[in-house]
Order: sequence, then structure tokens, then C-alpha cells
Amino acid sequence: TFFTTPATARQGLIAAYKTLQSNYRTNYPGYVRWVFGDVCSDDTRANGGDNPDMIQVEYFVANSTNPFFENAWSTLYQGIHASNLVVEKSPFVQGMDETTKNTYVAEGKFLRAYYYFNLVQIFGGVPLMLQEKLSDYNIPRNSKQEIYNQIEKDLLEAEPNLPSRDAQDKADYGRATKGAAQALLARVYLMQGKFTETETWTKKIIDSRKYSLDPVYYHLFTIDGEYGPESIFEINFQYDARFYDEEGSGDGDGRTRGPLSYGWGYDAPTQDLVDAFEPMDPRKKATVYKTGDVLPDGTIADVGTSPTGYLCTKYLILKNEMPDQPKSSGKDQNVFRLGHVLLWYAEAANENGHAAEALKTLNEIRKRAREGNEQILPDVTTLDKTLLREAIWKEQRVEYATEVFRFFDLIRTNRAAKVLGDYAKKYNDQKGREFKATINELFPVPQSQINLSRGVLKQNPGY
Amino acid sequence: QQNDGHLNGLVTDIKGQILPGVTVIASTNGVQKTWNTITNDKGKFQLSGLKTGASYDITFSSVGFKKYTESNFVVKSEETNSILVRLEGNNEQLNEIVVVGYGSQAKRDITGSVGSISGEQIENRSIGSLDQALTGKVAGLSVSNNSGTPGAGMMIRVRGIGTINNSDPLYVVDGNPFSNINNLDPQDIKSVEILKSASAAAIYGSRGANGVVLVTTKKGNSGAMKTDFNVFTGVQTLYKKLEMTDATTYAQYYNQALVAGGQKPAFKDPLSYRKGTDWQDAIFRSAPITRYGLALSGGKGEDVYRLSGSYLKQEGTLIGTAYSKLSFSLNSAHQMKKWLKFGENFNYAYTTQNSVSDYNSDSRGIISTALQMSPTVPVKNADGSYGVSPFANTYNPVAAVENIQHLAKDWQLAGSVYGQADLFKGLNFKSQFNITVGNGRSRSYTPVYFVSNSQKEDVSSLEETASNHTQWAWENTLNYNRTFGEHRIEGLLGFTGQHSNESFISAYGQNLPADAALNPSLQYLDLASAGMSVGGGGDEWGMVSYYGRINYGFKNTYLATLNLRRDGSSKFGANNRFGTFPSFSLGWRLSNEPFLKNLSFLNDLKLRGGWGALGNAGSLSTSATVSTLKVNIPYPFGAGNGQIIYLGATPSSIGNNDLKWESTKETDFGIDASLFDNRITFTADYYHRLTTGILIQLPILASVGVREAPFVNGGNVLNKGFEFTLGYRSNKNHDFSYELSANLALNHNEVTSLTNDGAAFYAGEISSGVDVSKTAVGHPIGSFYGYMTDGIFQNQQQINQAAKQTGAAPGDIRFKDLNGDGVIDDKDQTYIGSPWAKYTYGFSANLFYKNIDLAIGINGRGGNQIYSAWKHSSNSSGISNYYAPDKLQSWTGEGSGNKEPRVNILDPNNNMRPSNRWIQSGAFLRLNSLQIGYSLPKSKLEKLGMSRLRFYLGAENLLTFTKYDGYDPEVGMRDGNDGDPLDVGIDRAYYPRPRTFSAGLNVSF
Repeated sequence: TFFTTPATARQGLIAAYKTLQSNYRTNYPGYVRWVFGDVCSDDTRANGGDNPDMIQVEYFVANSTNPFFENAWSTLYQGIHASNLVVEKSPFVQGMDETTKNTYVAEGKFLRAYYYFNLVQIFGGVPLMLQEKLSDYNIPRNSKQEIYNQIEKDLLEAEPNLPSRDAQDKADYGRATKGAAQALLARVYLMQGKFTETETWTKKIIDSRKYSLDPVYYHLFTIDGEYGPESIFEINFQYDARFYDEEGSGDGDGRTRGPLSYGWGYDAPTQDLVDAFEPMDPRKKATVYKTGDVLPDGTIADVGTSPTGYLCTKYLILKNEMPDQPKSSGKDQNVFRLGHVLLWYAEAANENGHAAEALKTLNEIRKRAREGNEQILPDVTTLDKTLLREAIWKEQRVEYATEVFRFFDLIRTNRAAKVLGDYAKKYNDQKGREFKATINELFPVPQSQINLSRGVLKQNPGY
Repeated sequence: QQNDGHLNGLVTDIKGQILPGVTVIASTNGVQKTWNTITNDKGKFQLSGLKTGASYDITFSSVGFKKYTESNFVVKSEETNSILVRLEGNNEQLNEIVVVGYGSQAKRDITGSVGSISGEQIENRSIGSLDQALTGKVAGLSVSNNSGTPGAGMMIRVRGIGTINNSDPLYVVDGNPFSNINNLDPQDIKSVEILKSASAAAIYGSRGANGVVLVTTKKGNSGAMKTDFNVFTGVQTLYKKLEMTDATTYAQYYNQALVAGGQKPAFKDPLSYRKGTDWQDAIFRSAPITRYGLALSGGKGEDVYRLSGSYLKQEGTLIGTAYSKLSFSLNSAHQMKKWLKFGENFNYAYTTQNSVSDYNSDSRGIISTALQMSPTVPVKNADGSYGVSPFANTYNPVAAVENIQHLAKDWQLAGSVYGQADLFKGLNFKSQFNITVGNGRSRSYTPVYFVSNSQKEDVSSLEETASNHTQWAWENTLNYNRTFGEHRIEGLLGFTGQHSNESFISAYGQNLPADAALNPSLQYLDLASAGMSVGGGGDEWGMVSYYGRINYGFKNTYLATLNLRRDGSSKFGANNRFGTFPSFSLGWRLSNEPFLKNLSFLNDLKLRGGWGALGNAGSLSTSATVSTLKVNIPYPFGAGNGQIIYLGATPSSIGNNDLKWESTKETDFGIDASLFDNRITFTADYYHRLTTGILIQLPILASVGVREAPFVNGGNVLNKGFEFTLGYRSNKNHDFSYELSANLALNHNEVTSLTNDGAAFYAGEISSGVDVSKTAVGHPIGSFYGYMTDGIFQNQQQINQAAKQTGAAPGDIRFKDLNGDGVIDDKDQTYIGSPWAKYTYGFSANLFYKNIDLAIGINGRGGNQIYSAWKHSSNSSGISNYYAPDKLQSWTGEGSGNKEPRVNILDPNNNMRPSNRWIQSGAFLRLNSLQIGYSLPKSKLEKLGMSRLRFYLGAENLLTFTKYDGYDPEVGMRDGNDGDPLDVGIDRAYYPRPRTFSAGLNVSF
């Protein structure tokens, strides 16, 4: 009877969202998207003295048996399986109206696209599973292009049937919206260097006028700022004692990236990132802190054994946000917000020869960052395509630092080998030294899966 | 003279019990003729056609009895000649009645492979539980310590391990399938029989695949009431301590490691720390153990009774652990009519167990934390607060024990009632109803406490669980037992229905009253004011079985046993619910054959062989045949603090309706011999046991997206080996006498196929996501898997010449490029060891000199390896304390060492990876038990009105000879018997078994 009644269909839908929380979980509680997105880049370090596997991923010396790959692979496929059920079964649910059915299918496709997009960024082409399939499932990897095609197809089909932000009931916040699908689609295009489509879809979001920049940057990273005017898509967390152990539905990044007083103190921002901020940029304090700093809630910071001397401000749990179980703040993860979209629009517009629009949008971001202080962060003025591109990249790095885009931004712009190599040289560090162009853009397919497939799955080149 | 004389006779043993099957030969020289016959089931015989008036020599012989000749017996004419003969036993062993499934058999007639342990070998030991008494006593029975936790069970395996599922043997106590034999008091045990071969265990069909352990409890004897009182008290101590570095050395190493990793040293003045804290001293202690037992027994005629009670109180050598057991047993038998008998048998046990958090399962358990904890930190600071590690990942183990209170209380009542009726000639019917009910409760209370930022609780909480189980089995058997001339026939037909039901509920709440930590009467859930949650679960199955057995003997020389059992279980899908399990075995007593009869030194020689099939439902979940949903998957929707959690569901497993029994087929050949007045006994067995279709959750591709892999009948496992037992007993008539027994078992274990080729099972996680146990075709179950080391790189030149090894620098381990591709990667891993002993042996000696007795138990094993997982933290260059003997050999420069790598906090070469660096031989020889006793001589006892008074001193786990570095080379399973059967022999610094010295007293009157 599962997935034949409205009640069980809703349960199936909720389960499809659940994988968002357990993104790439290694051990409970997981949430290590940031190992791929940030730690592998020049922005942060693992701080994994008791987690050598994480350090190996950071150093690009991890082999195919490293649990981070195994977990990312299997967790994401669990999400795909749950999403496939939603897409496949929702149309046949008895006693559910057509609009709800269509919305469910659209949400299933959105989630499926999101999970595949995470897979394809990490591993490249993967087996394309679109049905609940319990036989003949041992299929070879589809090409990277086929995966991207499917992601685009799912999102293009989902977008018309998803509610717009203002049509969504507040109690449903967290479920996919039209804006979420548009933002994901824009990022998917950007990742492939499809600037025309990126510009089109980011512009749709901007022109919809349903989103606006939050006047105070740090507010975005507080519980109070959840689903504010800038928010496009968030992964929800809420502390509830009943489910304390249930894959941590209350544990956001506060546990893994929070300070040792209640968290694990992983993910330490590098000096290089700190130095990337322009003088007096308020976003610096909103991004990193060091021992002795006064934190937003007035307490004095202690970064413990952080190897860089910094930790992430965005994942702090403020005193007033602390529930009974401090590790489970219930703070959401920002996935997409207007700030990201504007900078992707600027980049695409510049590439497409619309430098003036690009410049205008870039300066909007800088204006908000200024928070009224005209002495800092002067407007960028260049209309030179190359210089403007550099300026946009630079702005992307600081605007959404530690929001898990950096490594993939380096990959998609072909800068990873140079940036990471330079980092290793500059700091005489193991970090970045082993990154090899044409190999380390992708991570290895888990060995266990290759073994289980009896060789049907092929390893990525160089592993 | 006429040939019409008759001779009627009756043969009994000394006690007057009739003896069937005795060979009677009458011969007379005068006529050179021999009359030959055999006693019937009433012990009677008749010889006819004798010559009246002649004198005959009449010889009575039977295996296990002294040959007796009545010389010059004159047959009188026309009279009924009759004779009564009492034969004297000459070999207690061979006449021993051995309990077999649903009955008993004289040991000499057994054609399967059965090992037995007598109550005397158990009752004098200063042990709290039965399983400890089995160590080293029977060839092919391997007993390993899972944990020294008081009250924890041991891992018992019969003839290797045939499945990756639950491999525990079936325990049957007085015909009642029993879940926890350690609820029994060792003093109540009369004998333990191990049915090893499939042909012996086949009568238990689908439950006997891992061997069957039959326990028979003591019964009363006819006569005045006898009182037995036993007591011992002893002290348990840690057998050995691991040599960890002292505080100064630790600080120096850690500083070196940090500097090598490009970081600042952590300790400014290492020398100032001196010796520091010995954390092992802080968590281990000497602990008392005491046991009292009292038994009353007696009876009149066939009406007998026995009542016993015992109390065991044991503290653990690890702080915070303790165990107590109160048990009562009652049994009686009543002869209602000449043909009708009934009886009952009850055992009740109440146990309490205090344990500390996760000492078994968590790599950061109390013991491993104590090993890892920095010795620079005091247990407590001068102001009374707990010492805190400056590093995040170790916590104060003493504080952890003292802040968490965990207590489990269990009771179990196991009993049976039976009625037995003799229907007619040799046929009887027995109906026995067994029931086991039990209840367990546990509670963990965690107060609000603060030790450090990483070791604290801000909210108090209480978790309580209650579980109960009920199991009943109704066994109905028809037995037929007759002798027709030289033919002896025993038949059994039976029907059993059984049912098991277990369930548990758990409840959790937070925010108890502030002073609940000090006042247990405030530790109730109705006082919790937040965070309430509940859970629960259960399992239920039923089974019906039909079975039959025929034993046939001809002339006591040719023996055969045939078994058939058919089981149906609710655990399986409708497609394969029933399984049929046949077996047979044959025996040939060569010593009865004319060509060997003249060998006077040979008392008995028997060849036997058999084949049998057994099933195993293993630990198969009752829901394996149906697809299940994972429910209550929480995900919140909404904004800010107003988000509400909704509950989702998704398929979590795929049911398989085609599942059927695991099947074990075993061939066994054996020889039993008894020589030189039965002083020497010898038994040897060869077995070949193939388990097919083992029930496994064969991993499937993660891209299917279902969390749990479906169960399939997916693989075969082979066990084969030899078993030898040699015994010697001296003449008992001297002041000095002795009995010696030695056994040796060789076993080869190998997975011969897995349905999904190339699939393997990984288990044995030693650190997050790193598994070291691999089960794959061609290797023993649960083999260790990893890299091979090849010394230490002494300089850059060696690194350049070697296969490419990312991150390697001088001082790092060189790993072997096993596939020769010039790169060290995961393809260079191989099988680096097996947790299964290739040989196990035992030796026991009982020496008697006048009133002094001495008993020695030795056991050992070899050919297996141990994965020293505890060294993972202690041999790292991380923040954990170091194992000094290894760390002293760390590489410090070219030529400085070739065993242990340099210290570097980052470990860029991943010297920590699973490799043979962590493998050590698991061979050991252990003086497991030693006892010396003195009994008061009979003359003095009479004055005291006693029948026995014995004082003894005993020691358990006295001495171990091994090269293994860890606490104890006897490493069992992770998490005890409920753990992962593939996670064996990986030593994460488990709770070591203590060494116990004790003194005791046995009194009978």
C-alpha cells in the first residue's frame, strides 16, 4: 500500500527530502558537502587531526577506498531512489488532486536533479537510474553529458509545475519552488560553461522580483534570517528531542564546523581566504573568526586547535539560537540565495558581452556588503571583459566563501591546477601540491562499487 | 548323556541393572562344541541342546565389562538350569551413558562424533559461569573470550565457523532449548555433551548446524537427603598492563610530531611532566568474587528430587563494572505407576550487571580511552575537578565511568515438565513441555555534568528499556528399544512444536530533578520534563518438526544410526518453508572380530563414519522474506524556529520469498580405541563440512538506492579438519593415581563461493569507514586485508627507487607494490591474516595422592592472527599516548630503525593504513586453571557426620605464554555474542579477562 494513498505518498516525498540533510554523510552525523566544496579548494583546511581520510581528500591523495567517496555515492543514490519513487508513483495515487500530483512529480524531479548534479560534479558520469529498479541494475556509467542532459530535462519539466515563492504556504518552506529550480538550473548551466542559458535563467529569477538582497549580510546566516527576502533554497534543520538520533535532523553545520565548545571544529578557513577580503569588508568577520574575537553574540571566540587559527563564522550557533542540545541548533543550510544568483548572472552576462549589466550587478553585491559604509569596497568600474571577469571571480570567492562552491568554481573555470599549485608553493604546503590537471577534477568512483559491478563500472582516468 | 539340557540365565551389572547384548559362550572340551548367544533386552538368555551331566565353561563378555567365566558348570538333567551373573565394569568411560538428542546412549555404541565433559571437571572450578569450564576440554570446541566484563558470555564454536551468520551452537538443557547457559550454576551440571558431527546433531535438524551443546543437570539419588554446600571466594586482578609512554616521553614525541608536521610544539617543558598519570592504574582495580551454593537432594526408590540455590557476586576489574547472579534449580521425578513416570525441572536466575558505556563497541571506549589519554593530565586536579585533555578527542575515562550509571537486571525462568509411559515391550512414550520466560530491564542515567567542553552533558537524561521473551516447545517422542537375539534395535519418533516471541520497549526523557544524580528514587521517567521519546520492537517465529531415528546393532559389532528430521519455520517465505535433514552413521567394532580377539592389549576398537545434512536459519530476521519500509524519517518544513518535523517513509529492504535454509553437509570418519586394560583411550576424527546457500545480505550496488541489501542464499563455506583426543588413566588402587587427557584439533576454513562473484563482505571497522576484515572466496571468513610493509625508507634515494608512494618521505613505511604497476594504491592490498586458529589444543591432568588432589587445565591455539586495532591510536603520531616498546623504535634518521616510522602528526604517507604492521600472531599457551585440594579422610569425616569435606585453592587464567603485545591473545567477537560474526580477532583493547586466585570449600553431609 506504500505510495498509493495521499498519506503514504506524502511520506515518500518527505523521505526524498531527507537525503538533503544527510548530504554525503560519512559517519553520523555527516554533512560533509563542504569537504568537496571548500576543503579541497584554497579556502579552508580539514582540521582533521583525528580524521586522516578527510585530509587525504583535501590533499588529493585519497584512493578509491576512501569512505568519503563511498558515502557520497551511496547517500546520493538513496536520495535518487526516493525521488524516483515520487516521480514514478505520484501520478497514480488514489484520491489526490491533479495539481498536487503534478507538484509532487515536479518536486521529485527537482530533488533528483539536485542529487545527480552533486554526483556528476564529484564523479563525472554515473549510472543513470530513473526508476525504482530491482533487477538489471548493474549498468555502466552514463556519460557526464547524458547526466547533465537528464538534470536539465528534469528541471525544465519541474519548473513550470512548482509554486512560486509567494504562492507557497509558509508551513511548506523548504519544499522546492520555481525559484529553486531556476537557480539550480542556472548553476547547472554555469557549471557546464553554458553562459547563454545561465544568463537567461538567472535573469528570470532577478526579473521575477520575488527576491531581494538582505540588507545585513550576516543576517543570512542566523536562524532569524532563514527564508528572508534573499533565500531561494535552504536545507532545513530543526531540533526535536524525539529525533535527536535520527541522522541528526537538528544538526546543521553547527556540529561539524562549529567550535569545539559544542562542535567538532572541522573546516578551518585559510590565511589565503582571509587575505582575499578587501580592507574593512564586513563580510570577513561574517565569514571567519580567530581566538579572542568578539563574536556576533558578544562571546569571546576560541578556535581551539584550528591549524589555521580560524573557524567559520557562518556556522556559529549564537547564544540565543542554542536549544537544549547545543549541537542541534536547527540552523538551516543555505543552498541558493539571490547573492549567488546575481554573481552568476554577472559572470554570464560579461561572457556574453553584456558588460554594463554585469558591472551593475556586481556593484549591487558590493553595495550590500558595504552596509552603508561608503569608505569601503568601492564600486568596480572596469568594462574590460578580462578584468571584469577577474573582479567577478574575486567577488564570488568572498561573497559566498565557505558556502561550498569554491572548489567547483575553480574546476569549471579551469583554474584549479594553477590556484592550488600556487597555494602549495606560496605556503610551502602539501595542500594543493598533488592536484593534477585532467585527473583531479573528478574524484575516484568507490572501489566497492566497481567490485560489486564486476567491472561494469569503470574507474575515472588516473585512479 | 543326552543333548536336551537347557540353561536359562540373567546378566546384570554390579548394581543389578540388567545388561542386554552380553555375549554368552558355553564350551566344553569333551565335545569341542561352542554355544553362542546374546542376552535380550531383559538381560536374559537361554542356551539349549546342552549335554546333561557335562561340565561347561560359560563365558560372559560385553564391551566395557570384565570378561567373566563360570568354569565347570554342570548341566543337570531334566532340570531347569539357571544362572545369575553379575558383570563387573572395567571401563567407566565406555559404559558412560552419554546424552544424545532426545535420549541417551552408551558411549561405546555411538557412531557419530560426540565430546563430553563430566560434572567433576566443572564443579571444582572457581568460575561463575559454565562456558568458562568448556575451554580446552573437547577437541574441536573452541571457546574464546569476548570480554572480561563480569557476566559476559564467551564465543563458542564447534568445528570452525560455517556461516557468516550467527554461529553459536544450539544449547539444550535437559531437553529444553536454552538461550543463556550461563544462567545455570556450574555446580548443578552433571555433564555436558557436544554433538559435533552432523550425524550426531542431525536429530536437531535446522537448529543443529553449528553443533549442539547438551547440558544435563544433576538429579537426586535414592537415599537419605544429601546436602552439598560449596563456597569460594577470590580476588581478580588485571593479568597484565600495557607499557605506555610516561608523560615526559609522550610530550617529547608529540612535540616532535607537531614540528615534523609544520606546527608549533604543544608542550613547553616536557621534562616537567615526569612520569605523569598511569591511566590504566586509574581504571583497573583488584576485584573480589564470591560464590555460595547449596544443594539438597535425595529420594526414595524412583522418586528423587534435587533443590539447589546459588549466589555469585563479582566485581569487575574495570571500575564501574559488577555482576551478581542468584539462581535456583529444582527438579524431581516421580514413579506414579510401574509404567508411568513424570517429573519436572526448573531453573530460575536473576542477574544484575553494572556496565560502563560502550567499553566493547566504541573505539573510544573506557579502556582504549585510558590507553590514549595523555599521561600529562591528572585524573583529578588539586581542586577536585577532573583532569581534562588539552586535545579535543580524548576524554577523561574516570569521569566517564563516574558520570554514567548503567544497570541491567534480568530474570529468566526456564523449565520443563514431562510424563513418560511404558506402553508395552520396549515401547515408551514421552511428552515434555518446555517453557522459558524472561524479562530484562536496563536503565542508564546521565546527570548534568561538566568535565570539559567536549565531555559534558547540559541536560540530564534517563533511558529505560524493558524486554521480555517467551519461548515454548512441546516435544512428543515415542521410543522403542528391544533386543532380538543378536539384534539390538532402538527407534525414536518425535514431533515438536515451538514458538518464540520477544519484544522490547524503551523510553527516554530529559531534565530530571537536579538531585536525581544522588538520589536514585528520583530517577523515574515521570520526573523528566522534556525530550520524551519512546521506541520498541519485537520478533516472533514458530517452528514445527517431525523426526525419527533408528539405531541398530548386530552382535554389538555392527552399528548403524539413521536420522531424519523435517522442519518448517515461519521465518521463511511460503516457497521454501520446509526443509528435510537426513543423516546416517555406521560403526564397526573391530575388536569383536575373531581376527582381533586374541590381542589382549586391545580392549575396544571401533571405526565409525557418517554423513549428515543440517539446516540453519541463522540469525535470519523474521522479516527477511518481506520488503520493509523505513518509517519515521524526519524532515522539517517551515521557517525559522517554527519549523515542524514531518515523518517520511521509504523502502529500506527488499524481501526475498525464495529464501531457504542454509544447508550444511558433513562427512565424518572416526576411530575410537581403548587399550591396555582401558588405561589408554584414543579418539580421532576427520570431518569435511560444507555449508551451502548461506543466508547473507549480499551487498548490492549502491545505485539501487535501498539501504539494506536483500537476503539471499548466497555462498558456500568449507570447514575440514582433524580432531584427536588421547587419554591415560593410571591404576586407581595406589596412593598415587592420575588421569591425563590431551586433545588437538586442526581446522581449515574457507569460503568456497559467493553467488555474486567478486563480491566480498567488509567488516571490522577500526576507524571511521576503514574496514580490515574481508570475507571473500578462497579465504577464511573474516580474513584481515590490507597492505604489506617492506621496512622503512631510510633516505630519499630509496623513495625514488621504490614504487610511487604519495606523501612518502625518509622515515616512512615502504609498502610493497604487489601488483608491480609501479604505484602503491589500493590494488596492492592483500590478505594479511586470519582470525581463525589452524590448531587448538587442550591438556588436562588430575592427580591424586592420598587425600590431595591437583587439577591442571591448559589450553592454547596457533596459526591465527590478531589485528591490533588498539595500536592504531597508540602507534600513531597523533595526540594519543604511545605504546612504548614500539614507539622506542621510531625512525629518527638514516639507519636508526627499520620497524616503526618517523613521527609526523600529518602522516602524509598514511603509515596508519591497514597493513601487516598491525598484525600479530595469536598463538598462545595458557595455564588456564590450576587447583589443589585436600579432602578429609573418611575416618575423620564419620566423626563429623559428613561424607565429604574438601578445601581447595584455585587459580584461573594463571599464566599465558604468547608473543602478543595486547592484554589477551584470546580475542573473540566485537560486541560479544550479539556482535558482527565477521568482526573477530580485532583487538580494540577489549575488557581483558582477569586472573583469579581463590580459596574454596566443598562440604557434603
